[in-house]
Amino acid sequence: MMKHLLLVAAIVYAVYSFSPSAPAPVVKTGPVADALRSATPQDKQTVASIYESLADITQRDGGKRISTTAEWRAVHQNTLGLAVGGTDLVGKYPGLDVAVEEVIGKHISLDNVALSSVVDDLVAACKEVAASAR
Amino acid sequence: MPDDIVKQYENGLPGYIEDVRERIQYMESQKQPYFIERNIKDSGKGKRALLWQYYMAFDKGAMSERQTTGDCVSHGSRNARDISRCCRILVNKEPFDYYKRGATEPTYGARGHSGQGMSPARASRFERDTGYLVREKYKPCDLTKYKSTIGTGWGRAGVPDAVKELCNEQKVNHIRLIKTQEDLMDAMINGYAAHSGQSAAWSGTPNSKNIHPRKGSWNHDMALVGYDDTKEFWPFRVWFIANSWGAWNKPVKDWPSSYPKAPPGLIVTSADDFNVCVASGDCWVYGGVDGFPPQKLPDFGTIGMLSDD
Repeated sequence: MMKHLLLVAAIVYAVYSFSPSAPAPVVKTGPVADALRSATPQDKQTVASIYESLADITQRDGGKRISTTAEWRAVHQNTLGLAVGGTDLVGKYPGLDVAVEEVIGKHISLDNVALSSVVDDLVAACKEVAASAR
Repeated sequence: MPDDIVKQYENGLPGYIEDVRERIQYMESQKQPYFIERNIKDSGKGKRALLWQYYMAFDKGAMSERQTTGDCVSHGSRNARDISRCCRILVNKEPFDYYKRGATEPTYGARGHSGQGMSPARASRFERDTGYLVREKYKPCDLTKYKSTIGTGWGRAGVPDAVKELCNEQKVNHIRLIKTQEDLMDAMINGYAAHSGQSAAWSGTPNSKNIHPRKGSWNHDMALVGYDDTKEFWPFRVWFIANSWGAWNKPVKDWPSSYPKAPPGLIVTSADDFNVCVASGDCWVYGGVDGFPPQKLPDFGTIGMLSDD
């Protein structure tokens, strides 16, 4: 549990290390982009940063500390809880949670498996969420 | 039939065996023998914890398995273990699967003699150090359905090595003795169930106070599955004890409508009558039961974290 908290703390730190940048002038499609259609650039940046950091952590860990997808789910939950829990972003964009689930679900199944077997897919999922959000 | 087992206990069947030496050895084998958690002290006072509901949420037939021999300690410990396991999932939201109901046979098979009955301390040692199994067909033995002859048969020779090896997969990390009702309330409000062995019996017929009064004596072990200290429905603290004899008694007449359904044979007792369960020195609370990793995730972790639901 301690190691997971450290990972989550690292992600949260990374999220807030990114400074907001101007949104790209490209109209994005996909569930996450649709859910964030009315979002402020700052909120889009926050969501993108979370998933960029998750992609980075997931890739570098490679299944060593986070050994299963069930453990990754817990890291994901804790990351969101620490990064945006209690802020007005929660509930601000209806359907955002389902949209993120949909994107991840395109890359991996809900089976609880060794993370090492799906690292690349999970990293691709996180990157897709980040790119759609930005 | 439940009547048979009731009569056997009334006639002195030694299901619960007090073994002071075993208990002391167990206590000496771990850093903290008693459940005294200062950071949650008094957290259970004035509240209620109806823990059996979490077990029944996963397993409608939970606590309906009727023992047919003197293996009450293994039933009491299994029920406490499973409830603590279910609380980890439903109350603490830990990512485990319920998977299946726990088995009683390996624990009873570890009692160390060929006669009937067991010391709860010995059961605790086995479940902490060796582990536990569930109702499943394993290569060395079929534990799908309760079969008292399996645990009885292992008796003096002990649990076969192949079975012990399987038990190693899941252990109970913390089993501690309870000294007071207050400590037990603190444990239960935090999702830890217990079982206790004592020489005491309860009437099968509730009285005018809407509880089952003490009557007679059984050398018996049962799971302690909840309490209500709110005084909302009873003017005194009540405890809920899950017996392992099936529907052996009459339920109390005024069961609060807001309560979850009671398991068969539940004993509702006053704090005064209940005190023997902690005073016996064999009241064991179960924490940190190894869970089963989920086979299928409910979601990827986003649901509920980005919405107001």
